[in-house]
Amino acid sequence: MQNYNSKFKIIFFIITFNFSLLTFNLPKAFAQSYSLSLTPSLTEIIIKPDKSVSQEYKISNNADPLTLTPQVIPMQINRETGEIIGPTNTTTASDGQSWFSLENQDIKLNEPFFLNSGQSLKLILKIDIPADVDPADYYFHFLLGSSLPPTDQTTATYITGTIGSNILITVSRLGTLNRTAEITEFDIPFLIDTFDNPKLIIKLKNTGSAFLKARGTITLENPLSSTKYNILPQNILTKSSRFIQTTESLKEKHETNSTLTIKKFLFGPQRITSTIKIEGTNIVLTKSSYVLALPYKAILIITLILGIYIFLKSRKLT
Amino acid sequence: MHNLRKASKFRLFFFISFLVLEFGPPAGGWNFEFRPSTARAIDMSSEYYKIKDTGLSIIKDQDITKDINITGIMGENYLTQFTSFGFSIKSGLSYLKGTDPFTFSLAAMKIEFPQTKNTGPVTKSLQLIIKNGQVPGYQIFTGQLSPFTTNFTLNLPGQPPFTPPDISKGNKPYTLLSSNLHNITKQTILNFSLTLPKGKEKISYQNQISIVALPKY
Repeated sequence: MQNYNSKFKIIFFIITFNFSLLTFNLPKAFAQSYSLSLTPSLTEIIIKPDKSVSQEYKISNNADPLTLTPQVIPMQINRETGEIIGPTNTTTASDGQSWFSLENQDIKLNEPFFLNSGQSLKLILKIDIPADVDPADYYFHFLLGSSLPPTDQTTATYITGTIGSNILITVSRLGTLNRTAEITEFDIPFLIDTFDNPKLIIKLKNTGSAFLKARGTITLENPLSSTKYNILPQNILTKSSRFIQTTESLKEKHETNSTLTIKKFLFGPQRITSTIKIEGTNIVLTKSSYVLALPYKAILIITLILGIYIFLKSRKLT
Repeated sequence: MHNLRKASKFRLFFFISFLVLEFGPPAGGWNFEFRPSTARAIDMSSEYYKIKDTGLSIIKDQDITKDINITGIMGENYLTQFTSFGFSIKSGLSYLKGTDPFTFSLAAMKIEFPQTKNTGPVTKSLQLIIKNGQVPGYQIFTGQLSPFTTNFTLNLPGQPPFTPPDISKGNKPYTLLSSNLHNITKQTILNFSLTLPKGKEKISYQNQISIVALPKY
């Protein structure tokens, strides 16, 4: 029996040794994931030269530990659409980048720091506007980019993930801003089908020298009723255009690429009026258009069926 | 009797160990990590998807013509109206109703291709998730960092493949996704495709790409 136990002890030892060798001594599979949350997504500043502002950001790491590098780079936009042109990797020091610094003791701009999994951190971004800066608009992205994962000899693509927040700054000596705008597009078909959801497109161009917000309403009127839609106060950057949106867009679940999708049963003549107020000014831009809503598709189908029926009946009679 | 019981324990252990060794380890073996569990982007199904609520910075009534500090995460709402001769600071969005922060997730940060001989393109995929809360839309950009290659393409489902531009040389990045929607959780797959260069029998290659998520303004 003693001999029997010794054999089992040897087998036990061998199995334990092999098990450990197989499991604990393997090269670690690298499958790091990335999930970051950043808030606020937007900071708007109208400030005098020679003043400073500190903005607190909260970054949360919802996935694996990461090394992140905070960075501020100028924002570039497509002037026709207002869409952001993404950041390149060759952004050099340009207007305004030297204005930014972090007030955190142990974290500096353009220097990597470690953020553990599940950890949240407050970053305090200080913006110092120099005394001699030209009064104008300056737009930036505050970015937090991950470092490249460790490389090895495998054939692989290594990914850096970056999340950002936007900073819009208007530098003004007196606080009196030149805000002007014009409606450059107001588009809806004249004839719409009663059973369709017609799309209204309104494009606004900021012709002033400071970013602005459009507010106001879009009214849909017919002899029997009137419906109002509120305009969503979105920023339009200087010398650029953007489609305005209504608060209805907050409920949209599919891309519409329009100002408003009218989801109402419409019949007969309708008048659509946009009344756009430029925030912080007395400017009100108004534009109207008439549309005729008829069930023309249904009328066409019924006419076609009737035509075929009459044609067949007349042939039968002859 | 005592020895017999001991022997049967050994037999049982031997049997379990045999089963574990025979059928247990997956290809490549097990990989144990002794640390607190984390939410991984790869696990972000509806059951596991968890985003922490955060607030936005709000400033107190202060004169912007002086130096000020915006501190304290206080809640969901936009900013303060403090107008001192038209100067102001606003943090967040005026129509903000929720507290979901802007969140960007990638299931992995390394896409590994097999090193064996290939006759056609090798395709791998990456799960990508964006959650924008009440932010009025978002854009996601991508570009290649050094070394640049034309043998490498990306594509979203239903879209044509493209070679990510070389952003290390100042080229504009490619806009992968652009949305004007609010309160959206967009989950999609990004396909990576590596083609065997002409005249080569084996792929042995490494490159780096950047994926940037920005909220709209």
